[in-house]
Amino acid sequence: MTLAPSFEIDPALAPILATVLDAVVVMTPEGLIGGWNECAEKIFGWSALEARGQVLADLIVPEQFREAHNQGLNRLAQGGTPQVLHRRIEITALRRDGHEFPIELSITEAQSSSGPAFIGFIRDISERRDAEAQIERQAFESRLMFEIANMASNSDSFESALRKALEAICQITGWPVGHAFVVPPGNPQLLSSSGIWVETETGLTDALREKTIATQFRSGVGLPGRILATGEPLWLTDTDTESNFPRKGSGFRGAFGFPLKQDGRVIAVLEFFSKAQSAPVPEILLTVRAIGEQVGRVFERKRTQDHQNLLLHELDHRVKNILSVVQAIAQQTFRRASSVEDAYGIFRGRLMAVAQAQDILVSQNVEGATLREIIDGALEGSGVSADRVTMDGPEVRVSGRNAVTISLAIHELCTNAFKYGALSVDDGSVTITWGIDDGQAKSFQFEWREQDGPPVVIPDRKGFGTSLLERGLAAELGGQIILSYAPEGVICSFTAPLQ
Amino acid sequence: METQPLLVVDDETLIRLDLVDVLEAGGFTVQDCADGSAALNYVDGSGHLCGLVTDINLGGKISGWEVARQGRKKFPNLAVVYITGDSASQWPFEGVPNSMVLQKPFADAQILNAVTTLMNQQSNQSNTE
Repeated sequence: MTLAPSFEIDPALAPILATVLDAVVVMTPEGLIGGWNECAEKIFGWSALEARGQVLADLIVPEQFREAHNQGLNRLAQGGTPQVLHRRIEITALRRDGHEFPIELSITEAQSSSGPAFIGFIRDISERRDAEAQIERQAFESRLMFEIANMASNSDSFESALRKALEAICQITGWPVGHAFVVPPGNPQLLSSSGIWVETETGLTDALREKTIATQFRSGVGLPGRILATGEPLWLTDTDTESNFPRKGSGFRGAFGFPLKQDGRVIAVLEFFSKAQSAPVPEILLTVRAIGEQVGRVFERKRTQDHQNLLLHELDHRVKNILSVVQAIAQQTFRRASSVEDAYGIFRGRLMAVAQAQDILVSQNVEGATLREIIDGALEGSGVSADRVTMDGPEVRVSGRNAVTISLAIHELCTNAFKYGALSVDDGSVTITWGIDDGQAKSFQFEWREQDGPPVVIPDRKGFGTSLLERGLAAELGGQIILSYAPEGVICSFTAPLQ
Repeated sequence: METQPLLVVDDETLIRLDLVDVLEAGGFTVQDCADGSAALNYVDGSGHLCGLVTDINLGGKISGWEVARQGRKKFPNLAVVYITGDSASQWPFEGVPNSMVLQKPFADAQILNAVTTLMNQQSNQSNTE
């Protein structure tokens, strides 16, 4: 046991040293501890009694600095100039429990009756360092977040916003691979690959992509499924030892991911991979969590925008289509008409029939209108009073596309009946029947039958109505139409096979 | 003069009927189909076809692009005219060589002109070969 060297302190100073907020440590030229104030006891964990006489380097200098410390002492012993005197340096020190912590240190040299001594003033700067690190992290986080939000809102689609976010995070973390899953609208328990991959070299992710496509990531399954289930970032140090990682053996061992959220709802999961195992980096996890919470709404806005663009595009398509239909009707009508006045009346009637069908379609639910509604609308639009027509048939749904053609076909039959057929005389009537024939081959049957009209005359040329029925409707519905000009009344019968 | 059979494919009945009318009035023999698979069947069973006028989005799985590719495979001199409301931008990648695309709506003269121009080109080509 080394004897505690004594270093005499002016008794007037003693109470001050006991209360200062910095640790004051006195070291002899031999490197032994000669003085140790209350604050030193507190930050290092050794009492003055324990510390005095100990080799200072062993007690509070971290291993990696001991060599330099001893060399400094040797230089001093040989009459060299001390290098660390009279200035503040930042370094680390060792606590009793082995914990290394950052300190600010200044050393002065003093002479006393017992010889020279070195006095170290030491301040624990852990808190300051933590605060600095936090500020740095926040700055980094807000910069990254700003960049991603900026990129997202400047991207022309949700997909390109996702790609840019992946690229930014890969670049900043130095991880080689990023990929995004999206939560399909209407199915919050499922993830589907966006197909967006970021990789530092082509072909790097071939195996991983294959396994990604082959796996169904429901909530709770694998890295992305667990992120979807918890709504929290997740870090896997080594995917090889994970029990819940279905994509093992694809060349990547480190992985982390985080959710993009909108109003607490996960809308996408971003994941990143490294070839080697990788211990969690708390800063990255904190940052990506913040990104997921803050930036999600920018992405969601992008997605809504995409959807609106899609609807606009669809609307544009439909408008163009209906204009083409109107043009086709106009051409058909005016080409065949005997006079412009004549043509105008017919054209208006046909346009009404199309509009009628559109009306019914818009007012209906998604399943489409019923055949009866379409026929009712067409009869009404053609000015046929209900007491002239008998209708009988089960409920049959008609798709939007077919509704327009059927409406127009009924309109043509009505027009013809008004002009030449059963509706041209007071006593004439029409019977419309339809049904499903459950024979060997299931089929749909429809019949328009006129009765009590004037004797039927076979027309000498085929008009638009005939062409629409025989050529148009039959092909559209994949069936056969027979128009029969029986003397007692026109019969139009239609048969289509049902799958 | 030999007849020049044409195939018209459009799932929109009224437009299809109108095309048939216009082309028949122009002296062609016209067959029409309402969807892609019916069109492929027709091409498959046909012995002679000079021209194809097809819409691109045919509602089902088979597009007008596909119908034209199959048509050209069987009839190398097939004149192909695409008509579309919104898919014209894909024509450079999806269209067969020496084809034309007409944006809906179009005038009668445009479609007749397109079909006859292409047919003349094709027959000049096959004459020089």
